[in-house]
Amino acid sequence: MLEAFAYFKWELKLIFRTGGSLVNVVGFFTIFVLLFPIGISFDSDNLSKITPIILWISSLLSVLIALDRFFLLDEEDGTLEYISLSALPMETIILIKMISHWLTTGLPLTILSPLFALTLNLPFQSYGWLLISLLIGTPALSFIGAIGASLTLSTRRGSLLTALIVLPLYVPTLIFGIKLIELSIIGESIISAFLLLSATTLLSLVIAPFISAIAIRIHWKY
Amino acid sequence: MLKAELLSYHRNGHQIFSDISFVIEFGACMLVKGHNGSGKTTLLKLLAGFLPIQKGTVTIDGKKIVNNFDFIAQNVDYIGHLNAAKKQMTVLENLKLWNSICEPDKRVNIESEFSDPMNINGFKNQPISFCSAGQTRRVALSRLATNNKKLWLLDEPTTSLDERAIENFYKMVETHCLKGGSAIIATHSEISMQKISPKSIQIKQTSSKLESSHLDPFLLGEW
Repeated sequence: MLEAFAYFKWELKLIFRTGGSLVNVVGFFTIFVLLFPIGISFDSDNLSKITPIILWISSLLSVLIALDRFFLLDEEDGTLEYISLSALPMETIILIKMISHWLTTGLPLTILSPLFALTLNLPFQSYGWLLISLLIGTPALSFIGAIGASLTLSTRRGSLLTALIVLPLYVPTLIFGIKLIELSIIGESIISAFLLLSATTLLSLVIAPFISAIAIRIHWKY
Repeated sequence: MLKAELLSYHRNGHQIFSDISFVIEFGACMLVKGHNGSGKTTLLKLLAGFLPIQKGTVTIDGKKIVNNFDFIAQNVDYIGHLNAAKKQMTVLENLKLWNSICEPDKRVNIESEFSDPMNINGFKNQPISFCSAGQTRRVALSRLATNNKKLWLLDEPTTSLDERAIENFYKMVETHCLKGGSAIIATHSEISMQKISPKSIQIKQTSSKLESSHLDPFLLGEW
């Protein structure tokens, strides 16, 4: 447990010291979201209908651009090989990496999202649900992203390939995440969307470390 | 005791090596020699569990290592061509991390109890990005001393080291072997150790092309 915590601290420190990674994600999100109110005329009816869609797709793409560093840097400097000989199992290492990835991509976006929802005219009663939707939905983006990143390790700079693999897998999260906010806008019960969104996240949390560990070991063979 | 019997490995349709057998007692050191591309690195990676053992068996103290990743991790330390040192972090931070995740029960206080065999004390608070190639290599090799693993697998460990560092390195290997550990070193250079005499094996290149029926991963059950 202590060693897992030590690695978690190291991983976070590394992301902050690498510089740019957090700023990139938040910067991309900001600009991408703000393009919509500029492009679509400020007609409150039209805009507020697509607000959940804009916010979800923006966070999805922002998480996606941070995926290519997920395993590649560790693979390139030999850390991934060496770390597999540590006391931590490979799956735990990947789990820790997934969580620290979310803490530096999904979480900041979730915290910032109400601010951007304001520019997109989201009805007032939905702000809380927007936060909850992103908070339970975005972890799945990092978890599924880990699978994509590990599968494309041998293509080196395969970020486009990662997107092709990962984006279809993001569809359930996208559907339930958007549905949750939409239901809260029209004032209906959100419970089904909430449960399905949580289920998607939990399922990806359970399977992603194992699939990624297998994918990495297969990558070493070639 | 590490025992390897009739190890063969093929990759991408080429037999890299075949039928390699050796036994190494704890307390001994073994050199792996061979031409470029003869499969020295592949052999070490097999032993470290990074590559699957396709044919043959490897046992440590009578226990098979196939897919037994925890067991390998307890016993084996591996330094490959890459140093696995993070550029953004200082030398000390790198060593501390590896020590705390590799030896959670036997942590070494790097600042006070560390014997510093590779003489890295002079630049320990420097980020790796400011270290030269040789200095980074010395940091990577220092990990061997902070971890307490029995078997060291070293892939051309003396690359970019200067003469004094090479001497320090072989002293470190000697102390390790005298304490009952062992080391398998893939190297091209001649080695001078006073207290122990390493045995060496030669890997012969067998670059024969395999029949296509031996290549299909589905037929081989490798998927």
